[in-house]
Amino acid sequence: MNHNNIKQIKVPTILSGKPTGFLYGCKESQSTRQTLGTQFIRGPQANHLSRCGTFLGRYMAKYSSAVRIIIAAFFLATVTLLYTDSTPAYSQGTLCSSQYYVDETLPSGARWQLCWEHRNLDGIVLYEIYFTPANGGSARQIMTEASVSQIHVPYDDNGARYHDVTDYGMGGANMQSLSAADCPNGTLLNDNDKNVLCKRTASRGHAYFGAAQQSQGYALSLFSVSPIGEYNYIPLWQFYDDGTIEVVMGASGKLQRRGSNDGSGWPIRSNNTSGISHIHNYYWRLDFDLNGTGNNDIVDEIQFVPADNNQRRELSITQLSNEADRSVDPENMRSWRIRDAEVNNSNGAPIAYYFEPLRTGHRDIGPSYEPWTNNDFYVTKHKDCEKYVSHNPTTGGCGSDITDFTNDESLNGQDVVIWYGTTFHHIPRDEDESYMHAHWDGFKIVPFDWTAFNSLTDGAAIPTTPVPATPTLETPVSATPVPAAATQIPATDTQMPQTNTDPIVCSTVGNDTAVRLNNGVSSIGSALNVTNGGAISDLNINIDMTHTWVGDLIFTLSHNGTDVAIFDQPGLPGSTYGCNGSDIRIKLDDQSGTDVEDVCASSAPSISGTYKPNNLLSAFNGVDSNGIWNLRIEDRYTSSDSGTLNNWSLEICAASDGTAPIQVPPTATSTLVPTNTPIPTSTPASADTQSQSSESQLYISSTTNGYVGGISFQDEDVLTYNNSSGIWAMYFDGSDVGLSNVDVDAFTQLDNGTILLSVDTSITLPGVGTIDDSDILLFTSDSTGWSTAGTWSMYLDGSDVGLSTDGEDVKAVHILNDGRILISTYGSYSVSGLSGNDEDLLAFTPAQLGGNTQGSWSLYFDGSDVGMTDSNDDIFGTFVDEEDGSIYLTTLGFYSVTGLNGAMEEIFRCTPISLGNNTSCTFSTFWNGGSFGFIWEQIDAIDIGPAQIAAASLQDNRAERNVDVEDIEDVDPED
Amino acid sequence: MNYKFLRMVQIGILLLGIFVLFNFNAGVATAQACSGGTIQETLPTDATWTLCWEHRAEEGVVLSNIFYTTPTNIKRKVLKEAGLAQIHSPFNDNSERNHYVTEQGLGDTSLVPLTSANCPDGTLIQHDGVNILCSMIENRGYIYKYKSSQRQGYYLTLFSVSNMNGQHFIVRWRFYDDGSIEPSIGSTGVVSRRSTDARYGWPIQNNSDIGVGYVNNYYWRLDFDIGENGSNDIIEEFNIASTNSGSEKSLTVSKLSSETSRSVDAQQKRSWRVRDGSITNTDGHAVSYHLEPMQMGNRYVGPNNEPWTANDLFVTKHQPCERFVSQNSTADGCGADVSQFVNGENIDGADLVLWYRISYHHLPRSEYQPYIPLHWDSFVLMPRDWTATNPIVN
Repeated sequence: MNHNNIKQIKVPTILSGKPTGFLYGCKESQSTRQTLGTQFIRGPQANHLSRCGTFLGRYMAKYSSAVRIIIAAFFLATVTLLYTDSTPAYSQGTLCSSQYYVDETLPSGARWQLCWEHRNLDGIVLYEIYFTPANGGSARQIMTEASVSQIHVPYDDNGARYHDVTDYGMGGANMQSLSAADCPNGTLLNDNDKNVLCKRTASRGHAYFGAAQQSQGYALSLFSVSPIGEYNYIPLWQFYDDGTIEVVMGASGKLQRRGSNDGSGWPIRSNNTSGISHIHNYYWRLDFDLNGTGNNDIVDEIQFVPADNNQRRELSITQLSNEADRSVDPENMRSWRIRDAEVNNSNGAPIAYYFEPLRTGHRDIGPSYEPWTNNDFYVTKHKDCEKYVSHNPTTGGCGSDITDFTNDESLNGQDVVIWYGTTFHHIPRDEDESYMHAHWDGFKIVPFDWTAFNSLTDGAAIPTTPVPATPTLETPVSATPVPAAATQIPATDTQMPQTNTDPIVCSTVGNDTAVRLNNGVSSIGSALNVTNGGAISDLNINIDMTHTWVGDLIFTLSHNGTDVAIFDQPGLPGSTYGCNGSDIRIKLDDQSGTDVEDVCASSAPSISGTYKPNNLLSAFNGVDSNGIWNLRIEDRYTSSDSGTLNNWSLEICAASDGTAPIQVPPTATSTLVPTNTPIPTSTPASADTQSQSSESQLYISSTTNGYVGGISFQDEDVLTYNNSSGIWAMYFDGSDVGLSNVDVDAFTQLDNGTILLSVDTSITLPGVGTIDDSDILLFTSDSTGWSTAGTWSMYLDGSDVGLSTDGEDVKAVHILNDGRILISTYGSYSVSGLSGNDEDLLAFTPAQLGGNTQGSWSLYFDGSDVGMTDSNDDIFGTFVDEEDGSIYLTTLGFYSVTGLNGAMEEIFRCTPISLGNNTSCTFSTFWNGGSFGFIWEQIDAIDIGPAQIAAASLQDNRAERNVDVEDIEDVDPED
Repeated sequence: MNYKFLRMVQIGILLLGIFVLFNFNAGVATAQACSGGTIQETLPTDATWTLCWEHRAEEGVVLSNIFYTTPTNIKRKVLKEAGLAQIHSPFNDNSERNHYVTEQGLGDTSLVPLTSANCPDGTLIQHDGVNILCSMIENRGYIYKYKSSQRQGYYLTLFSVSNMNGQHFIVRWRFYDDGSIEPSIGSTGVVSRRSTDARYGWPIQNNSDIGVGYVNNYYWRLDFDIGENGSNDIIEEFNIASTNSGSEKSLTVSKLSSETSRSVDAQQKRSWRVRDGSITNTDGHAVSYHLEPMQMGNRYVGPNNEPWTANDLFVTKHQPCERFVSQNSTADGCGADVSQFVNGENIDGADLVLWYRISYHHLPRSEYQPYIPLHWDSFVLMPRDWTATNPIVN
């Protein structure tokens, strides 16, 4: 999108004649600013003080219109030429005059460009803010406009409740003239013969620190000062060389209000005088236009929610699809990001900025007549008249405060504005006289996948992506890098070793019985027994032992005929007697970056932490973990020093069925076989799937919203995954066709390209009216993908044929070649001549379809016959391959069927032996979504189609989505 | 290296420390008897900070006997000792739960030798022939601004850097010319755990290459000795209650009279101050330092077997063997973690120790590679009524 990005800013500017600032040089008029994506209110309260008039504009104004066109064409050509040289789109004289233009390249090479202006109420407003990373990216716009939106100051005694921005104004007469002493080592910027802004570049200390590198960072800062009453506010904007923007407000001056001592203040003098405590609620208005396009930014709320008795934190992402008011939530680590819907970095992640709520020590929910104090983070659709969090002018029918602005309008395709607030409660102290110290409050917005790597580095030190041997929880950074050649192994290579397809389960087994190692004893042993294990994919060991000279010890782990000396007299032979410290409290983990051999602290425990063993535990990989494990401890100097083995445990990750996989030969190259290669550009060598699936196209819907393969999806969407290319794409975008508020929970395609689906709740659709969850809808598509369009009709009216209770929600649908319709229900069902539970597949033989459905029911697949008796075994999706009769299934949760179990993100397969009342199958795993980024998703609709059809539709999809892959790659520094 | 010899040296240092302590109790209020080194800096605004530093294997650099002298020459002790008490880092997927201070230790070979590039315009300070500490005087912008008048302020910055298997921590202390103390930790280095499980982190290279998120729980141990000695300090909790349907606020100050565990409360703007039991400023107000939690965007509460994560501030009576918030040595009958230190002992007139924590959740992103953009966490100990007026305003 590199070129497109720039064209969007520049070329339409001229061809459409909109931001006439380029041509005529002055953006003084309202119409001019409108075209830049914002609009100013003109009136006594919001007088535009800055004066513009660019060099170009004045120059151009002298010429006739015909000549203007020629000159404009010349400049267009010049500017276009500059793009190809990667010159940032934004140069002096285009969006503001030089007087109001800041263009700063920091010592690290990062560049910030922006315009500013001075307004009576807002004070200094920044607009058209662009960042160019030092490495790894080009100039991109972040915001169209950024300003202080209110300073609300209620006093504890309720004696005053100021709204400083709207009622007094930060600018005009309240804008302090700055002197050189205010701005040491900086530059004063002038408006209307007054120095109103200090611009400065300063060191910000270390930007990062790594083993081999460190770097000092810099920040560009801009601040002004606005005395309002006795207070002096200092709006400060810091632009870091890493792309971070720190938004700050300083408060200094003198105390505004004093009183006599009581609970609403603090004594500040020797007499009865107190300073009255008060709150500063600071609010900012940030109009984002990531990458210059304002109508495709999306706001997500990101949380990490406690799970597993607080031992884990799990990601939760919720798109704020309508206007919203949100609060901070420190225990859920809540934060927000605003991302571009179209542009990804070269890692395939959408470019975004991230809000880190950090200074949240104070919050204040005020009285009910100040509803803007209820929340911290507001998202609205841009409206020109919505400017101030409180005391907003209501002329033109606008809301009076932010809670009126957040009235649930859809943000889909809208220009998004974020309003952010922080609170500081000030209890005065003696030191606040005579002058108060400057107190700083604010927040940061941080680039989030804006570039593919830390842009203050050249990216060269990024470790090559480790390809995990198996998809376990533990895949450390220090794993052996994968040579590029390894990914060239063709998918059809029949010699390629296969790995286990069973789910990997990690568990810990320990022995807490202490064993004494006395003087004169040369060795002790301890054992434990593993059951319900399987083929080991990763093994760690924890050991807690006291001993007065740990360098004397050797630990050998034995199992199934394999012996590994995991801990072998650390410090030897480097020193005569090895590590002479006391006690060991370690985890040995092959993936640790530090050898246990090299550790010896002077204080006990002398060896403590996670280390790499002397000999690798991977010797046990592939071995069945079931059975007895022995830990033998030898003391090589039995005559002195003693100790106790307190406890030890094994952390085993293993295939859950206990079957050893086909072993990967222990050679250097064979460990590099990619077992899961989910990125679109990677080699499609999926050992996780069987041959059929590698040629197929999957169609999948989830019960929740999520993100996979560079695509953000909703529960009403159907995604498609190509098993040979590894590419995910949007197939059916439910929100385009009226399904925004429902979950699509059953889906299949007919041969003629039409789609059958069902949803989870009642909804009214054009052309059909109100339908409910037991109905099956027919969708005739005009287009699919990101711009899904088409018409609806009723296909099967469930209530006509006995599907009427809550539980008779249709959860799976498939049409057999003979015209029978297979369904499964969410709960138990009772239809004419048949009743049963949610693990069954019913076949409906239609006599008539549509609004007056008629037909008969029969049992096709009886889940309880094949072990589907748990509530998790509710069938959520199905597909039948009529060439061999295989039935493909997904379930509500972790399923367990005869001879197989697995998770909700898997598609598994019944190869039928018999069907109907006496169902019997051989089961196998068909596709494990967890290996392809579709982790922890409940798959509530599936369909499977031939790959060649899919490839064509995939191309359409990508074209519609308007992601120009080649252009993205242009910004990849490695290209 | 002969570690057992080193142990003897440490015992010697400990004995020396006891000697120093004895001297202070005898009223010799100077900071010259440091067991490590001495730092004394007078800032351009004429405020002076005087303190000792010493190296320890666990905490790295520990500061002690910290005195602030105003430009008008009011000199008082603030802290007897200040250092890290733990960095507890559980990973979101429960694959690691590190206790960096006690397990690996921020000192010894973990300390990164500093160069002048790490310490621009500063002074490098050695321990055992290695530059481990950088001392700098930095401009901090406005002390105050009032219409056309203003003054520029400074602070003394001290920091060391510890490398914990690729994770780097910058342990930094800032001493402001107005008497404020800002303990900070910068976190940078490399993403230390990757996984294919998207539940616990964020893709950093492609969709299946997940940088596992983690929380750093930073704990500081602050042994206050306000004024002459530590035996008459009092800790108070401030809460701001909303009254009259939220339109009015009312401050309640409560003395904490026994060992206690407390949590932040943003809506009540909860904060704490430690004041001297006898010394007042010329307005007659007790001199104190105020700990106001502001950086509280993340807060970590862990499983039941990590009780030190349940609270943010712990107040205890000083015990020499109580050093670490978790994995504290129980050798001398001491508690294993701070929740055991807090056992209801009366702290009236006791030597007070405050244990304060900040949590930060690291969510990896593409920019975390190859090196994590440095993230600072900090809090401020601010003088309250230490002087009757602003000490650096004429």
